[in-house]
Amino acid sequence: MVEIYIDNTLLDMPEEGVNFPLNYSIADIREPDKRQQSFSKTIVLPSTKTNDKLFTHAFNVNRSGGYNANTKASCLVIQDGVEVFNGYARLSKIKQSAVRKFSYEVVIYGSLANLFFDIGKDKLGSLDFSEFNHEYTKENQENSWDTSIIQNSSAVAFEYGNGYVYPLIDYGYSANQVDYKVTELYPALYAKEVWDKIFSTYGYTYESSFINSARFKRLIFPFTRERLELSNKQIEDRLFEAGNSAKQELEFNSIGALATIEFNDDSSGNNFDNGGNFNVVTYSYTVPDTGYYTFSARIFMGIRLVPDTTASVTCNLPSLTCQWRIKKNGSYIALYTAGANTSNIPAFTTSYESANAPNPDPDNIWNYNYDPNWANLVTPTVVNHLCQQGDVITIEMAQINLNLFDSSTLFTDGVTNYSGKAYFQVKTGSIFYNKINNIGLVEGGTVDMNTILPVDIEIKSLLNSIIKMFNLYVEQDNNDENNYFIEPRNDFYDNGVEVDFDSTDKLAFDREQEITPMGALDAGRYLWTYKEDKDYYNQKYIESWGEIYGQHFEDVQNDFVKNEIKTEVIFSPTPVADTGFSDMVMPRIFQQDSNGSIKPYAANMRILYYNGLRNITGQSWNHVAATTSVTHLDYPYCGHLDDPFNPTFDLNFGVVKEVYYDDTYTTLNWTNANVFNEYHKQFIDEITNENSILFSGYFNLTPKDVYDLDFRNNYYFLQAYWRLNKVIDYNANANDLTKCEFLKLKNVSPFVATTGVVIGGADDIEEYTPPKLKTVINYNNNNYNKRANDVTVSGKDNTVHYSARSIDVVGDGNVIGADAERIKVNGSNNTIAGGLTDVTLINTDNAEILESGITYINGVEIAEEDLENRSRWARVDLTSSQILSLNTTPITCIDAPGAGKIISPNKIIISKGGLTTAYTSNTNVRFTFGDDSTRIYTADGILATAAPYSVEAEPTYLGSGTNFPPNTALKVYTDTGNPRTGNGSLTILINYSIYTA
Amino acid sequence: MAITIDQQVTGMATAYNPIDYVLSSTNTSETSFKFISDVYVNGVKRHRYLTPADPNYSNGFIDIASIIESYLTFDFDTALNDDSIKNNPNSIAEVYVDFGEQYDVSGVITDFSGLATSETLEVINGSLEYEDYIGFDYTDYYNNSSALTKFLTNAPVNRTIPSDMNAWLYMYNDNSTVYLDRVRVRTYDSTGTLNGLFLFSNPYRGGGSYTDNHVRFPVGANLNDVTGVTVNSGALPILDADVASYDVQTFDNGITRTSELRTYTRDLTCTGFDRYTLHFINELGGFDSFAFDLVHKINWSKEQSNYMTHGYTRSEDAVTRNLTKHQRRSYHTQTNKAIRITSNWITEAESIWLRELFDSPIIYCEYPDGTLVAVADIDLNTYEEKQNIIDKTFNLEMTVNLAWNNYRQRR
Repeated sequence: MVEIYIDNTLLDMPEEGVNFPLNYSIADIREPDKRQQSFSKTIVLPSTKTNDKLFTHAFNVNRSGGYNANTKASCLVIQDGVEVFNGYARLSKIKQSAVRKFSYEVVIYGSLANLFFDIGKDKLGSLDFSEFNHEYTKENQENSWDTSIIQNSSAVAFEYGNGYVYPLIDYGYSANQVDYKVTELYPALYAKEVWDKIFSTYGYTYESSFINSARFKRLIFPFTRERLELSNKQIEDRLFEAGNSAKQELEFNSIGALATIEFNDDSSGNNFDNGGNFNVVTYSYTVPDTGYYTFSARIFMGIRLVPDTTASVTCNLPSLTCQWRIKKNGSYIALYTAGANTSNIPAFTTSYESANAPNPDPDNIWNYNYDPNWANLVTPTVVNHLCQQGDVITIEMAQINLNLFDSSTLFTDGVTNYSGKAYFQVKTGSIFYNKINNIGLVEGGTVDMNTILPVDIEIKSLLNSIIKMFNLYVEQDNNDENNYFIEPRNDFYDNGVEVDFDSTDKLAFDREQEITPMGALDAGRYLWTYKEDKDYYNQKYIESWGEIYGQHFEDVQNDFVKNEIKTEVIFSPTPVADTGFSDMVMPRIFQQDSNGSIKPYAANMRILYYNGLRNITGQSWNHVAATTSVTHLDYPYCGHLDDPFNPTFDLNFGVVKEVYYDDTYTTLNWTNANVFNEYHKQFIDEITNENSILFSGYFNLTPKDVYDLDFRNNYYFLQAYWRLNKVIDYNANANDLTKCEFLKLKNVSPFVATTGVVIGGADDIEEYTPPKLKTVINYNNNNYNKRANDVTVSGKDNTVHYSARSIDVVGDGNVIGADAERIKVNGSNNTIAGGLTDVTLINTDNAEILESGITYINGVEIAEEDLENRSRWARVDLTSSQILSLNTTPITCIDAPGAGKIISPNKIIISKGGLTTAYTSNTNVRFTFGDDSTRIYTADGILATAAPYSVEAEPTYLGSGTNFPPNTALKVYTDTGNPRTGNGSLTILINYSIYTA
Repeated sequence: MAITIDQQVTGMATAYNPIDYVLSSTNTSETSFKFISDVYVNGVKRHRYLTPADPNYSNGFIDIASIIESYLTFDFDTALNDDSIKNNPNSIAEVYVDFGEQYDVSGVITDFSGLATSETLEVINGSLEYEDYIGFDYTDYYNNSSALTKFLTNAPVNRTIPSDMNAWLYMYNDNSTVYLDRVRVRTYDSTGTLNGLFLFSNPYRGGGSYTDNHVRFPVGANLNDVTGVTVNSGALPILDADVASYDVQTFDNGITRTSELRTYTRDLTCTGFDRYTLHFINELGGFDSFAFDLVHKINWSKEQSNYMTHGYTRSEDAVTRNLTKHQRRSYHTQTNKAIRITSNWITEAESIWLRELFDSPIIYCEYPDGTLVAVADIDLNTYEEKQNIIDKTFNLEMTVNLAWNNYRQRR
């Protein structure tokens, strides 16, 4: 029997009753987001006393008030004591079929409680993870690996699946792949944390061994944007604008007056203080969180003069000036000077006060013009200043030019000086405010955990991806519609029991039956894949293999079904790679151009496996904070494998064809325990079997049968076991048989993983082929840190340690050790020991260098003095702008050679090839070690013509003494003054030697 | 602002017939003018009408009957054990209407409620045939004076009824301490000699509630269930074996008759058939009773659905096929019971009256053993009032469908 309550009133039903056929389908469990959540059914209710009263006699056309057909009325439908649904009703029509025989047409809109329905189009950005906000510090990052995390501002013990973790991911910032700054590590949220947050946010619960398993608890969603930034709320909470409700005066005196500007209003008008950071009593802003801030003020200045006489006077001081200081913790971080030109003030008696004057000001005493509309406006500003949490920011006005101020002679009537007072003012309408221009999160700032996930991804998409990825069956709890049972498909069926529909004679043999061979088979190819991304390693893999990293497909031997069913999740795959210096394999998410230039990349969402700290074989890494750096021999590993060298689980769908690391440091094993084999293979094996059958027929289902209905069960009839697929239009009141659909499946063996050692990538591990190892396309066999932009290597078979700096190698077979710096090699088969600096080998082979500061030329070590005596060339190209200021700003041609050394110019060549328009006046170009008296060469008038010729001359020292001055740079200049007009460049070549003085 | 109630129903009305009100106002020319009629039932505001003024007469007209009927049902002694006068709280409602008006005041539709109030009206659960409604004078049925008030029935005032048939009379009164003070029953033997005179009081007199204005009391064999009877003459039970007839009438608190006199002749004959008595709601909201004491037949209808199963029975080591296996089996069997009943000869007056049984929406059937069951409907689509001059003698035959389904076992 169906009972319908509208607004808690049990309705009178029509004699024929109202039926609500129920449908059940495994698809509702397999694809819970597509489950029919809402439906409408029109029912016709008789005009009975109960119904009339409920609908307040809606047939009365002059009715007013009462039941409102424009609004939803709660509607509860109970069938045989079981709530069928809870929805709402709308009175759509009242019909009169005979005189005073009315009926009500009511549309019932049912909606089953459903997480996916409730989520709707909500995005990940709507989830609140702020309980995990924490300071962006090295300590918090390291604690998250295995010790503790911050939750609700307190430390809670580390637990996989709870909150966040800072895995080591190479986002392309570290130049040497050894030093990783605090600001180059980003938090990842555990997938379980996100999953739980979704359920709790929408008022649902779940029971699942899988979601609570150690495996799922280790899954993380890493940060995938280019950098961590402030959230809009964080920015909003930092902003303020404060005004002054009263004019403030600063009386000038002989010792200097100063005062904090009294911004005492942060709430009225346009003033605001979002985060409650401004203090209207101390007129100060307290920095709420470490970061970059821009502070500015718009101050309307004024002056007031009060002579101690009634005579008509003018001000003796030409100006009254203040310094406007933005201060942090009492120290200046910005200074502005602005004041009034008092000499323009006309003669006055008693007192003078400047107006808060728009431009032009009446007495022309202001000339700052920061704002075209206001002459008396000064706008002290400090842009993008790094502040620490708790820093106090104020603005101060301070009297300057004290030595000019004498209150006893401040005024004059033209004959006599008079004493008096002078005040500097801050007019009302002035404001003090801030901006946040640099929204990058700095070390010590607060990480808003609501910015970690991609905010625009729909929550439903995320859930669906996890469900699809792990082939989860999501079953709503019959006894609690807000609770779900969630297990992977194989586990779901493992929990079923056998139900005998044979001896209970449930199947009606005299009704239609349908048998569809391989009826569950709906594709010729099944493809599981991540979503393509454009980062370097993903693209590299696609270009190499023509498929997405980690994808897997299964082809079915069937001549008739040719289509493909693609299961794609919203996550992108994440290849992992090493550095070549150790076995520190990690995700590397960035872009890299053909020149090897790396830049950060805003990637698609990823899902990875965090397995705690992993020991490093080879080069350690440094966790670099602003003030400290810690070397680690282990690292917080994450990747698609639970362990990159001894994996037991792979988050990829299938075995990849190539990985971007090798077994140099550690033996590399592989496993086929990937997502396809673990979660999809059994299902595919079953439905692709040639003996699988889809069967439908009519069954005599009792209410108890339906109540006990469980898709997990194996149903026995027709001498076979079946899995229930659908129950179609079961109607408890219709007294009829019910059509059901069952699937007969081949029993297949559960998947058992095989693991083996990868040997070069060409071997097979039993039935599958492991990936090929890192392939370095290095035709010249040069090994060096290609991400270091100060290392260049030409030739072949050269090895430069990844930590060497400022290296230039031309030749073959050279070896440069660790931490070597400023090494230049032109030759072959040379060895430079680690840690050496300033080594130069020119045209030299087979040298073994063990000392710093060594130079070899033509295979011969050159003594320092020999080096000094050799001649060399210096080249300077003067631009037009440099020429036009060449007298004011001479240009250095040769740097000072060092203590006790002198430059000995041998030859100077000046080329006018770039001169296009002759310069006028001051056209003599001269070279000197000091001023014009110590010049060594003068090319007089060389700039006066544009004729393209060059001069070449041997310089002559005109200074006193016989030697050039020691340790003095050689400069080029023009005498007398700067050249005028003219255009074009000048090239200067100087041949010189360096001698010891 | 002035509302005038130009027409209203006063005193008592039947809920299933029109209850009209006509209003006028001095403000009907105001923009967006509407009459407000707030209907109060038993002291609770139940409904509001917003009625525009008639374009020709500028008045407002409402009929509140369809609202009132929702608040009325019926009262019947389903336990068949009334032992005194009982009130019928579900059969009467107290109604009044607050009138006001609504119109545009400076761009705002403004309500002016409670400008006039109708007289309080008592509405009973009656549904008068239209001819009766047109000539209906409620005072004929209102026991509030010394006039001879009618009971709430159109049954003949002189009836012959089976001696063991239960019956009731319903009456509308003013529940004062005066007019429906007591019921008098006089019994006579077969020679017409007074056998006994009995009085029983109305416990609801002076009760003050409108629900006491509608009462009922036994007048059939159930008269003997009445307790607290004052015996003026004769001896209890009221209807003993010597009683061949009796009459019933109400009295005030003095010696004045306040109702019509109803006479019942007891039919003591035995027909040899089981008697089925139908108790049915009449047009005036009371319940009348009529016995069908000739032949009856009980009919059952069936609706059955089957399906075919496989033909074997399994055991651990064998599959057995035999003739005892229900290969075809029923999964749904529904039956319904109906009784075809026949009355004895009836009079022309009874034939006219029993038309109310024919179209009565609420019927109970009392089995020969006294069991009372609900009747869904009577299987008659037309009804002919018999006339002695044409039909000579006649009886009434009909099928009553009982108001439930029966379901059999399922395999």
